[in-house]
Amino acid sequence: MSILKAKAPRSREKRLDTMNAWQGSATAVAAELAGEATVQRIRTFSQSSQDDLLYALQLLAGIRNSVTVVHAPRGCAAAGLYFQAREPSGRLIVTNLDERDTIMGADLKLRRAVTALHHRYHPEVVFIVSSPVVAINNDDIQSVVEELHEELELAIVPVYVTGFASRNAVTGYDATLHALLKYLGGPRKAREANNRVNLLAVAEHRPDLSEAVRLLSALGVELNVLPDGAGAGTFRDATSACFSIPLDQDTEDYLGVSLRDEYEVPYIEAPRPVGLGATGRWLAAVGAALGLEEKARFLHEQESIAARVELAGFSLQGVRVYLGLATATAFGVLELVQEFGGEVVGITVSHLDQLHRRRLEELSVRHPDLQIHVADGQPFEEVSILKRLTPDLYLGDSAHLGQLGRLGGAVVSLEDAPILGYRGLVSLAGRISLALRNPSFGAALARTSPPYHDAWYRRSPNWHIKQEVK
Amino acid sequence: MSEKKGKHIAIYGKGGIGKSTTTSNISAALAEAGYRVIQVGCDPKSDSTTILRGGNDLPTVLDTLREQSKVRIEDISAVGFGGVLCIEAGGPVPGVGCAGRGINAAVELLQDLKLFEEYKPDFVLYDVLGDVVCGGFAVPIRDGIADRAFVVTSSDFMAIFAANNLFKAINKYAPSGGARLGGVIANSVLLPYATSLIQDFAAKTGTGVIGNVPRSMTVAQSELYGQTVIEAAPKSDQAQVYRDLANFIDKNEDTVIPKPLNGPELKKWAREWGDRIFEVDAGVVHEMAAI
Repeated sequence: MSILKAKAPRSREKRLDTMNAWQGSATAVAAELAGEATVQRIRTFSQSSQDDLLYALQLLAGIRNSVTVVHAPRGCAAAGLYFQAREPSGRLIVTNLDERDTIMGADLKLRRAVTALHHRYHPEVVFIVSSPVVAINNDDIQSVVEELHEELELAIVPVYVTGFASRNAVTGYDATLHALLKYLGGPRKAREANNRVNLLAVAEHRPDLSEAVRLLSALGVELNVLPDGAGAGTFRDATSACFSIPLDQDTEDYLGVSLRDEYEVPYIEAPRPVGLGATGRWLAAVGAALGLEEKARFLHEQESIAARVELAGFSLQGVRVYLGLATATAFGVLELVQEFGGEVVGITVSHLDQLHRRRLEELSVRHPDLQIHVADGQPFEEVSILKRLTPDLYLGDSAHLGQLGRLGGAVVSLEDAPILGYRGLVSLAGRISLALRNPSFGAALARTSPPYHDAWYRRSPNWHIKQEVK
Repeated sequence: MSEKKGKHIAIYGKGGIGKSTTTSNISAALAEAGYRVIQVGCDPKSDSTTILRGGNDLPTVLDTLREQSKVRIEDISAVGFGGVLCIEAGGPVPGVGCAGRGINAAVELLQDLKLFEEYKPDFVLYDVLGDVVCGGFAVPIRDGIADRAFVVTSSDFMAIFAANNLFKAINKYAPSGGARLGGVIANSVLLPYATSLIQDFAAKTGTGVIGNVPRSMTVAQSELYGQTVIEAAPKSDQAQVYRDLANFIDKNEDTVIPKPLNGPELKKWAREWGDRIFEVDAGVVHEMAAI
């Protein structure tokens, strides 16, 4: 059966054994994921957490000429305000479900909202995002979608997220990509010869996306970038492209695999292009798929030479580094740090699952004792780990970098910082050099009171991570 | 979602109307005819499959989910009469939670466990409480879980009222891929007018009665033995009634979208029947009626 027939995809933990709580060595986590059944860990205390609704809103904010209707009480839409403040491609509104709506159902309210938005903004597509309330009272979004689609001749895409059915917020990307392809992909059509490549990009910074486009354009590739910045027609075009290449397999896996399984568009598995080696392998994968191996190799050599000139003198020799990043980025930066002679003493990643199995097996051979911490929004655990490891440099994209900075080490925020390809590398190296050259900010922060009580540091950082026992 | 195998049928009805007895006997008759059958009780009372299992205990899906992180099919199912695989969705602790969402979670779990792919049933019967047709209890007829729905009703007004409510739900969801109605099963038919009343209701709502199940001592007796009629009294007339129903469900796949009566229409219809029954009872002879 086509996976797109389902209303929504299975959660990440069911589909890929995704876990969001763990602390231990690379060897142990590799063995856990290689085992027959991954045993999920739970946190008995969680400092903060994201949910699938938030990730859905992030992704939809990048779709051109669209309106996103959050069918929820008003607070649920607040999750999308952060993305709305960052040059979104689409608009966001909320149906403001109230007490009466939760009891009587609010199909009519939703119907009125979509109709009004259609007449007011003439969007190319309207997204209806469900919410925890809808998951409980089972409001009939589907009927609204089908009736108004015919009545208004408008593309309406329902995105079914619950906010609670999965512990892993990344499920929200899967649910949204599922809906986008299901409703905008259209029927399978006869393949025509073309040179069009799907560049999969979910949540990249603009400079990073520009760098990826620059490199692929240099290979003479016609690009179809999605879902970020895509319009409704982009998804239709994607179904007849010659292949898809991801920038971040963690977030784009569902789209790449669905395009492959439903439309026979090959999905090229390639590393996140972070650092010289991985960027070279990423380009080589595209080159191999197009029969342009030589051109890709030449481009990599030229770009590497130019980057090395700009990086002259940059070294991480003797620098002990800790990484706190989204998983694919963390593995990319880990390799980058090692390329320049640095030592990674530990990493905190957002989640781990079967997509990382091969990478973890490699790590368990080369760095069996590397400490891996799986957490999204748990700075209290990270601070405790950092107190023990005392790295010289912390590279992270957490919203809690201030707390980590109070330990005194150099901290570089990768949030909103370019990181991909050769230009991303040069930019990142510049930021790292600056932070290492000027430790006074960290030293000043270290003189402030520590973020947590001593009692917490005396406990093991994984104090609250337990194996679920029933 | 796992691949859907077999014919998935939801049977609704007001609580206490004999819906579980009817469903279990249909399951037993289908199994007797050589089909692989799964019966899923979607009622927090969790007694749908009791008479298929000789009255033995069976942990419900939700109770098991509450106690174990990993649930296997063996933990939540029992093989009953004729090899019918019995499952009870169960419900939350009384007074808390959402029973409708519980049904949703239970059905999702069965799909995750690839039950239908691995057991390869010919029929899956969902026995659903029909008093409350809120979003949760409508789950089996939404989202493509069941293909067809049947409603069990007696001639009592409240049972008809519940059936009419179910028709409203089917009417709402069928256009967007929900189940359509296979027909009405008239149950506990005893008094002479009952059959006509239910048939008239079916005709008024654009549906049809697929079988009349008479009130019978055999049913009560079999239930006391913890068995279906098919098992306890296989040669009885009552067993044949259930076999005929099973045969109809097997062979006839016609469905309709019912046209439920609105509030005033239903009241008017009920009043007319009230008058008619009174007249029959009182022996009223209308003018010219004897000519």
